[in-house]
Amino acid sequence: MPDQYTLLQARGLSLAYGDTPALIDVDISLRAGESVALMGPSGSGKSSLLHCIAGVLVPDSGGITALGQRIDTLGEAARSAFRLEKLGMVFQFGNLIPELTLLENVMLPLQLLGTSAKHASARAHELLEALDVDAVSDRRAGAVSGGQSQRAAVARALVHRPAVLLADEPTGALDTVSSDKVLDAMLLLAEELGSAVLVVTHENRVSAHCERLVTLRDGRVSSPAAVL
Amino acid sequence: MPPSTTLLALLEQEPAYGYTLKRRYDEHFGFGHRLAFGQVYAALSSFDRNGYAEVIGVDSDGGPSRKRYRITPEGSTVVERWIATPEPASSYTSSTLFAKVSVALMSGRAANDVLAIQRQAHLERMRALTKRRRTAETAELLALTFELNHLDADLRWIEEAGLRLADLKRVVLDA
Repeated sequence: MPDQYTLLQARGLSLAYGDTPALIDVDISLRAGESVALMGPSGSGKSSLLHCIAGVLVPDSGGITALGQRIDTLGEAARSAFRLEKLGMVFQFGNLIPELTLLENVMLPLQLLGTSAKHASARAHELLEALDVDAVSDRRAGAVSGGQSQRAAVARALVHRPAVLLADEPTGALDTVSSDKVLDAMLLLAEELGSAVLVVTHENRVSAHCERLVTLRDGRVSSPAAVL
Repeated sequence: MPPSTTLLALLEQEPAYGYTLKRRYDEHFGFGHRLAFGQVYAALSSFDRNGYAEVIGVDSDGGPSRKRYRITPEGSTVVERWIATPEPASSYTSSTLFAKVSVALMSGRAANDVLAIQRQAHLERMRALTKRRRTAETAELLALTFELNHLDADLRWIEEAGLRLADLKRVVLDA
C-alpha cells in the first residue's frame, strides 16, 4: 500500500513488444512535490515506462497505482479520463495547437474538464504570467518563439493542477539558457502545486534540476551511479 | 584559477593594500572559496621582487604596518600578455580519471566501478550547482555554468568510456 505522500507507484512492471522486452520488473514511485529524472540510453525503456504511467500503454504484468487507484486495470475511457484530470504532459516540441493562441491552448484542459470560459481564462492567464509569457498570450502558438511555446506548453500541462506532471525531453529543442529558465519555472510551479514531476531526459544538465535520478538500462532500473 | 596574475590585474585598477586586494578578489572570483591572506601577501612580495608592483606607502594607524602597492608598467605588460594569451585546452591524456580507469584495467580491478563512482560524484555536484544557480547573480551564474558544462563534458566522456571499456582493456593489456 503506498504511503500517504506517494502519489504514484509502479511495481514489477513488465512490457514486451512481441518477443522484445521493453520493461522488465520495473519499480518506480513518485511522491508529492518531488521531481525525478528518468535517464537511459536510446531503447532502454524510458518512453515505454512513461507511456505506461500515462495510461497510454498497458503493462503485461505488474501494477500502477495513482492516488490510491489502480490505473492499469481501468478501461481505455477511464484511463483517458484519468490522464485528463490527474496528469499533465509536456513534450519536446510543446505540441500546442498552432492555430490557437497561447491563451486558448492553456485554457483547453480546463474547458475539457467543464470549467467555465471565464474561470479557465483567469487561471490560464495566472499560469502564463507565472511563466513569463502572458504578454504574448494573444499570439497564435505557431507564431511565437520555441522558448515561449514551451513555456505555454508547461502552463497548459499544469493549469488543471495535475497530481503528476510527465515531461518527455521538455527542453530538448531549446538552447541551454532557455532550457534552464523553462525547467526552473516548471519545477517551481509544480512544487507549489504539490505535483510530482517525472522528467525523461538524456541530458545530465536537465537531470541535475531534479531531486532524484532513476536510470533505466535494457528495460531494467539500474543503480543511479551506473554508467549508461 | 591561479590567482597571482588575477591579483596583479586587480591591482592594475587602483593601488591597494593586501587586505583590500583580497576582498576584491573574493568579491569577483571567490564564490565561496576565499583566498588565504598568506597567498595574497606572498603574491604581493613576488610582484615587488620581480618589479611588477611597488610599495607606495606604509600606514600603521597604531596597529601593524600596512603596505600600499601600485602596479608598475612592467606589471601592466604582464597583465596585458596574460589576457591576450589563450588558455591551453586540457588534454584527456593528463586526466587522472583516464589514468585510474587504465590502471584498473591493467591490474584487473573493476574499471566500471571507477567510472560509476565518479559519475555519482559528478551528478551530485551538478545537482548542488544547479540549485545554487537559481539564486545566483550574473557573475556567479557564469562561474557555475562554467563548472556545470565541464562536469557535463566529463559525464559524457564517462558514459562513452563505459561503452568502450572492453576495447580499452585490450589496448592497455597489449601495450
